[in-house]
Amino acid sequence: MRSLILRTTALGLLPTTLLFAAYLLWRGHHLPGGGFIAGLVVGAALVVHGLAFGGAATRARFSAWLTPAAPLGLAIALASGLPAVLAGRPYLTHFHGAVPVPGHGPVAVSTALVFDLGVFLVVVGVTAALLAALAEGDDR
Amino acid sequence: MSAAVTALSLLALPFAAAGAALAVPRRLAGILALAVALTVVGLAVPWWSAVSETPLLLPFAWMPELGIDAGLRLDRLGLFFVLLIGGIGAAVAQYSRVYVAAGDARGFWPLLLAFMGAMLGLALADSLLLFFVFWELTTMASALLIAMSGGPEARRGAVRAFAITGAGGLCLLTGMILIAQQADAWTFSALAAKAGAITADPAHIPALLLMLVGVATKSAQAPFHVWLPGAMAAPAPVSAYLHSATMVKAGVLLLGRLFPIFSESPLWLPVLMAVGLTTFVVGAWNAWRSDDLKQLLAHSTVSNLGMLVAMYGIYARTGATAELVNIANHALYKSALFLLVGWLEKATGTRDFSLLDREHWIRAEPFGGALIGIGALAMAGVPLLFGFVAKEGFLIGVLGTPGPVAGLAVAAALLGAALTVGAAFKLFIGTFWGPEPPTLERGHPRKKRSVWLLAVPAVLLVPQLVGGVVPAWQVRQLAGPGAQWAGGPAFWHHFDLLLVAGLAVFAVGGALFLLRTRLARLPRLGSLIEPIDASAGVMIGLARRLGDAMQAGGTGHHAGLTLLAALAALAPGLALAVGAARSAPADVLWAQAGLAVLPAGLVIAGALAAAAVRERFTALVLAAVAGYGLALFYVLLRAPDLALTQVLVETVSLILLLLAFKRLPEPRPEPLAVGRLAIALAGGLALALLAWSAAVVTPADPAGAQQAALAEPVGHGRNAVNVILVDIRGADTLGEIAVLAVAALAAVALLAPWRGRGATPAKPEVEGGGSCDR
Repeated sequence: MRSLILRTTALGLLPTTLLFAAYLLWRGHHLPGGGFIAGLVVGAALVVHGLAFGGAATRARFSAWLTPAAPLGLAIALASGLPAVLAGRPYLTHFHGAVPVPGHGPVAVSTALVFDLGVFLVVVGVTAALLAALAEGDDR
Repeated sequence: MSAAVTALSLLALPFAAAGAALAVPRRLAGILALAVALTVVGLAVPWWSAVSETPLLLPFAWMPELGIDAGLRLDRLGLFFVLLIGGIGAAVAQYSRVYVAAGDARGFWPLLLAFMGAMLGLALADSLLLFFVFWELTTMASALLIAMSGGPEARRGAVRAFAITGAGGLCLLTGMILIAQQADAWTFSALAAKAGAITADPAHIPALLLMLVGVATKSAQAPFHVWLPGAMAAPAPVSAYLHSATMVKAGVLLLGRLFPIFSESPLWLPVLMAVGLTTFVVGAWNAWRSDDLKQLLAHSTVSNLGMLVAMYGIYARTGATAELVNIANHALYKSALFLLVGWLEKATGTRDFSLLDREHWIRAEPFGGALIGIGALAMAGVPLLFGFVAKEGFLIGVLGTPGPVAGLAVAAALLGAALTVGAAFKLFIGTFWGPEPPTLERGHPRKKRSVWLLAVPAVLLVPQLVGGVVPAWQVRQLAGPGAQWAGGPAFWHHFDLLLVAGLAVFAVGGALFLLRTRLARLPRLGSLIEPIDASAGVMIGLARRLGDAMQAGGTGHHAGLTLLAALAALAPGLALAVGAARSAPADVLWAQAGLAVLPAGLVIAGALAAAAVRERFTALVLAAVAGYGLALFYVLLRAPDLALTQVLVETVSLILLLLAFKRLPEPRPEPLAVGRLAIALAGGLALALLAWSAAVVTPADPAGAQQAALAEPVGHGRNAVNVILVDIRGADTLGEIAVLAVAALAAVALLAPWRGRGATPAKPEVEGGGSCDR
């Protein structure tokens, strides 16, 4: 399935999909989206890349980013609950604030987003690990 | 520095350093361990005088609804143990830096630091449950450190240690829960405040006995002492730290914590004295009989632990003011001896007594020999060393035992002391003063041995000399306020029963040493090794048989069993739900149908087609079609997050399944399995009934509505699903992603043997791998 059309399309599709995933992650708190969905979108993008270029090439290109993704995501998710403990509240109480962005107005940020980022990284890491393990030595 | 900050940093520092030691090179990790141990001592020393009189309690609320807290305490016993752990830890760290070979396992320094942190947690914990957590952590660290040197002997020793101390830990937990329920108190200090009421009620006896079983397993009391000699497979510094100075003393620490609570109990004195004296004699006998010097020290440690346990029985009569004297004495000289045996092994090339007995080593290694001599004489309790003071205290205590069994107790104590003297002479005189010249080429040359191998034990033995010459001063430092010591500790009182007993002990011990070759045929005592190994083997065999029954036979067999179990668990709830649904009005279901007929048709068509088609890949794609139909359902129910997730999960799963199925061999055509068909139909029917009753029965207050209402005000988000996932039920999500990560890890590990072998392996080497697609 190493067709030229697929390869070109996949290469063009990849950055757009990643951007879309980031967008889904960002807006998850107010509109449909969130960490799980964004992570799965990135997983689908990896599948397309693998279909176009083969498992070995995909792994060679992305493994440096994706191997530590799952543990890193877990660590981030665990850490996002710690500011609450330091402030004397129960673990995983989320704090919400607003960061003023010039020319746009206040942008809402919160530790919930950090937690969602952790979830996102875990899902990306898990999908990538399973794909890499199954697609090894494969021509598809 | 406040007490709370000190306590927390004492706990956090070793664990943080253990994490760091995983990443840094070995040399740096050794220096880090030394620094951490010295810091622990430095943090603890300023608090010694402050807590001498009254303990300092630091409560931390953990689950206030259940009354459980994670409190810490700083008191004499705990702070003494902190100093012991830190001080001997520093000595062991420095020794290990020059002893543990560069090629040894990478896990040494992180495990040692983690163990140090767990022991510190034991010393500082006031809460019962926190104490238990650290207790189990020391068990795990100890087993891992024993197994570290590799080889079947080390692994057997580690499994044995883990089995015995782990079982003891479970008894301890049960006892703790029983007593906490009885007294409604979850900390040692709260229990101590209610001591009178607890011991007056006979219901405390099972709890006390269970906790004493925990003590006996951890501190290697007879008959559970068999794990300690097996633990000697670990390198010398590990034996010195864990199995002589700190971990085995954890049981004694627990006795110290239980003493204010249970000393009035009628069971305390008899049980502890019986167990302790039996262990004292058994350990001393085995020590005297040992031919391997490290085993000799291990059995002697068992014997000394018996003495410490018996002392706690005696304290019920006399008060526990002198508890630290005995603990300090034993920890210091025994750890020094273990380190010295490690040096001896390097210097002479062997630990076997039958070889060393014949060789004359004292002129070749005078300094090392002198140090071992001091340690051995301290073990024997010779005057002018601190060991004598401790042994005297023990004999005085036993001699004062009232009651009919006093004679038996005294005889046991004297016999054990005599055997210990025999073992000590074996260690010193037998090893160094043989008739033949030494075989120098068997050991490492002197230039290659670091000076620290002798310097560290020398430092540890200094308190023995100090305490021997000025015992009153040393005892005053260690003993609690108001300590009673008849006539003051000294090495000469007057000609009395005690002196006669002491001289008799030395005479008998000397005779036993001189007759050692004549008496070499006598057996060792009290070995429960075969039954314990056998029961461990039985459990492992049972687990293997269960695994074979459940998992061998292919995916279909395993899935069928899982589905059956799920249906059995679901049955009662399903019966209730169907009963409630049948009383609902009949036309509610059809009124809701509307457009849902379309995706329903898609799901049904896809599922039936997938079941009917023979070709694997087509079946997978048709199953995915059913999944997409389900996503359409979610769209109709106005759940965009669910629909998105369903579509994405279905796509990624389809790809993963296609990739996985590519590797499997072609399935053999086989007849229809009626049993599996029945299970599948039953499963489908159960879920259909569940869905029907869920659609028809509308509860008065749906669970989701409250949480959805909270989304905006509390969670500051308009997407209720995401707010629930991330904020309101965030802990659940944390657990789920942890499970995901572990599952991926397991999948990668399981798929590893199939790597790089192309599409269809001819003969898979993984067990049961070929029948995965039946």
